[in-house]
Amino acid sequence: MEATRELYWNIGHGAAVLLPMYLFTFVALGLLIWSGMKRLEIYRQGKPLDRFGNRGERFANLLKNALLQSRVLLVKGPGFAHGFFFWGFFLLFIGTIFVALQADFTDLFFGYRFLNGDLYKVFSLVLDLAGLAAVAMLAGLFIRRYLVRPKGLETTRDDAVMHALLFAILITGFVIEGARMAVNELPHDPALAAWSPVGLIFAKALSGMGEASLLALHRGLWWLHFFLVIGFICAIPFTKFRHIFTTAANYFFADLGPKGALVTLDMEGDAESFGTANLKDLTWKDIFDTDACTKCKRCQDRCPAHNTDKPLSPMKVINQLGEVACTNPEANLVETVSKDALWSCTTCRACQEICPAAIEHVNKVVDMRRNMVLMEGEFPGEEVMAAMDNTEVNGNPLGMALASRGDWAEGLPVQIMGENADVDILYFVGCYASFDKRNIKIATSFIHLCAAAGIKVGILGKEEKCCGEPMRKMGNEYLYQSMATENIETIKAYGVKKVVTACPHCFNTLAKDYRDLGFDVETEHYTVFLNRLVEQGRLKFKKESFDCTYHDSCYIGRYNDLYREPRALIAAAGGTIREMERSGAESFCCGAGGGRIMAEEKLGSRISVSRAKMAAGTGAGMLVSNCPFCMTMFEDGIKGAELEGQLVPRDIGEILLERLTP
Amino acid sequence: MLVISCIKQVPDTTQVKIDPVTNTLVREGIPFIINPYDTHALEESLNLKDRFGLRAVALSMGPPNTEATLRKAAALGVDEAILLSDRAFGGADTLSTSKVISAAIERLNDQEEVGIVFCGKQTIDGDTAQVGPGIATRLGYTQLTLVDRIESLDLVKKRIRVRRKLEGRHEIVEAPLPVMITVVRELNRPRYPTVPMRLMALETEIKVWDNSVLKLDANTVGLKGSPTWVSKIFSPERDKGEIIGDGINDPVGTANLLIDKMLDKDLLAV
Ligand SMILES: Cc1cc2nc3c(=O)[nH]c(=O)nc-3n(C[C@H](O)[C@H](O)[C@H](O)COP(=O)(O)OP(=O)(O)OC[C@H]3O[C@@H](n4cnc5c(N)ncnc54)[C@H](O)[C@@H]3O)c2cc1C
Ligand code: SF4
Ligand code: SF4
Repeated sequence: MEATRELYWNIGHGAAVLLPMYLFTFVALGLLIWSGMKRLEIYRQGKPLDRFGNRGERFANLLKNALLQSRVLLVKGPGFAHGFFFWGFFLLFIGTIFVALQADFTDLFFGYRFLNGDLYKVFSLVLDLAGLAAVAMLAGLFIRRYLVRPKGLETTRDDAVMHALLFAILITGFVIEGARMAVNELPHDPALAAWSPVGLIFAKALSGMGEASLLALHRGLWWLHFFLVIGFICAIPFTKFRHIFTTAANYFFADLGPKGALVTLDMEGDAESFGTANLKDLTWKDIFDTDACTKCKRCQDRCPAHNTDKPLSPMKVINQLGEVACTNPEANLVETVSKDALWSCTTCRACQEICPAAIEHVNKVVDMRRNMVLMEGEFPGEEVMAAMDNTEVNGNPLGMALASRGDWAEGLPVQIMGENADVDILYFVGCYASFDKRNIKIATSFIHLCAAAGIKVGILGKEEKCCGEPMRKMGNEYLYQSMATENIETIKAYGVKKVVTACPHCFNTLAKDYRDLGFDVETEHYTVFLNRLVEQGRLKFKKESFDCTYHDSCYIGRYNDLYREPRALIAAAGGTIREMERSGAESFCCGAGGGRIMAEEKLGSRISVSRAKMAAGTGAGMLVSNCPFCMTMFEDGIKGAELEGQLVPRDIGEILLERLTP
Repeated sequence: MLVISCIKQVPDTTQVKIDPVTNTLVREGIPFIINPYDTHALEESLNLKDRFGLRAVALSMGPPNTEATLRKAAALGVDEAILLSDRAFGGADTLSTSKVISAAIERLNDQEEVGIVFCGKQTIDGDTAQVGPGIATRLGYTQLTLVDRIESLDLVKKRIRVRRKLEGRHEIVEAPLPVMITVVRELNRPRYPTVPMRLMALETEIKVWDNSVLKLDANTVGLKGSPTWVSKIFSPERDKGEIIGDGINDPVGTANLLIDKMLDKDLLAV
């Protein structure tokens, strides 16, 4: 006997079955499409934005992330549970399509059957195991949500409905299979039954029931199973099930531009309003994002502001915007989210990097800040306003004299561009390394390292202005652009071929943000630049082994994916890194990003103290970083955590210089 | 009714150095700012504009580049910004500065009644604190100095009540309008210009009133009309201090040494 099974066995395949079945199916699908169309109106409240170009890349993104669950799997545990559940359920879905395809189409019209023989056996086994995986993973997720109850995981009616429906669908599926097997395969073809191992267990359990009751049970459950599936389809638009479509679509619509790029506002055009205050200031994609959120709280778990008791949760921000879009489109978004929450963001990108739904949080926060700053002249504190004023007058937020910007370089092997522009690279120093005593050491060590490698370095000196990054991230696009245009003009006038920065904020700004303003000079972070010199053998170090831990700054790590070069440099100097638990793409911000370097940290506990404790927890006595802002924060955080003497913050350049062999 | 703020453009003195050879201020590369006290005068005029619907006018006497300062005032929201500039006004001391500003205020008063004139407590470059009082005297306005709070303003009865910040105490005083008020920094928190206002300010006309408008006797203004002049600017020599004790290893002993020293020098009394 060829291995197969009679499709619609015990149900019948006449009009009395097919008609209601397809009728309900089409009604359910119709409802799904109709509510999808209604939902489009919500997205259409936003401004236009082109997220349709480069279809190939977009489809690849969609397939990779939806089918392979790449972003979901970034987090082990629940990520794997979701992944295996998805694959299991997806296979069952495909299996059901195959069944319908053969029974109601190829067999019905052409007498062609493909679900037989070895293919049927594999089909049977795969679906059986898929069902098992789905049930097991769902159980795991259920236990996590309802028994373990991780902190911050919001559980609502949606979750109950979803768990109940999915469990019911999967379990009824197995019982139907078991009942059928108890009548058919168990007595007549036990060898075939082995290809449905899980079904077999159910069959054996049911086999004592007697054929008549089994047939009745089978038929009853078959229809129940069917209506549960109809219920599932109908529930998609009204529950978090909608993420099946919205999250998948969000992979397609993801930003393909340079990572972390913000929209460069046209400050001179005839725009009447800047930034986001109302729903109509958001783009449709911003609103769509809110529908793709699954409230998985991954973003919130990683948010440095949230972790230090500040009133910000990226998840909450997204959901608040979603709620306004659906229920109260006139509401003021800044008020809804709250100013304190908005000012608390360090733009560290931890939320965006981990979000399984590819939601873009940071631009929304900055856009709302833009509204507060550009339209209302508001800041988180007077110290920030003073820093803005200082920048406007003196080109740096510290209020140091404009003319003294290059003073730190006196007596060092470095040229002032205004005096001699014949250089290999222009070192864009940045404000902190120009004026802050501790950070001047970072600048100095970079100069000495370059000199050792025979690189001619120039600086702009008093012609350099703040790159504008902290102002921009605080929402002051106006001041950012005025700094940026001056710098661009100055640098371009010297015909510089390459710019190197020691500050990740300057780096990200010059290398990416300035492009929108017409800057096209190649820009590198010093870790990349120096690492190349090391690889070329132009810099050599004494191999004195030492222990340290390394902090990936947000703007070198997550924003630019530079994880290898800094570590290679530390290794070249003989360092062994004891990694912190939160490192690499999961690194925990020092607290200075998003312009917070200019602000007092008045809410919650101090981010820098938390980070210093994490570093000390590795047992290494040295905390190495690659950023003047981080350095400033760690100096502070180490004091705050009372770790002086136990933990010393160092910059990669300083470590290299100390170990340089002539 | 008009509310006027007098604002002076000053070099950012945190950066001003004195050339030890020529004994003159090194001004090269030093950015100009609005005299810090004047930002509070300006802010208060805008507050009164917002609260009472007064028309806010900013006045500044200075060279043509002072226009930048007045444009900032426009970006903050003044209804009118007027630059008092003429070669004849150059080199003015406090007497002739207040004469020119008073003439401008009188002229404005001819068009619309002036209620309040705000000045900073003093400037950070000239530091005399005389111009405000000079204006009040010249115009016969009531003079309210060192104000850190406007308690009330009654436009019907034309009376204002303010709080003055004095050493160790406050004083509440009331006066009939018009008044000249000099302000301290505690009075308010200056606002930050919004972008739409900045863009608007780029188009705003900054009126320039020269002596053909004010029609003052050229011999009574500027250098010619100034009985005082600066003969020398220098950094005072300061005796180097001495290090006493060892604060790190013996803080208590060092503190005692310090107290003895201060008693010795009559800086402390028991
Ligand atoms: C480098 C330098 C050289 C000087 N040379 C001379 C000199 O040769 N001869 C001489 O007599 N004086 C000289 N002065 C002093 C100069 O005249 C005063 O700066 C000026 O008259 C105002 O006085 P003040 O700055 O002390 O203002 P203050 O009396 O301290 O100012 C009080 C308030 O008056 C208002 N105010 C003052 N000036 C103006 C203004 N120009 N426009 C609008 N509002 C204003 C502001 O509200 C200010 O807060 C010099 C000052 C400097 C810094
Ligand atoms: S960017 Fe960082 S600080 Fe801002 S919301 Fe995201 S995780 Fe929180
Ligand atoms: S925004 Fe993204 S990471 Fe945050 S809860 Fe929603 S889906 Fe999860």
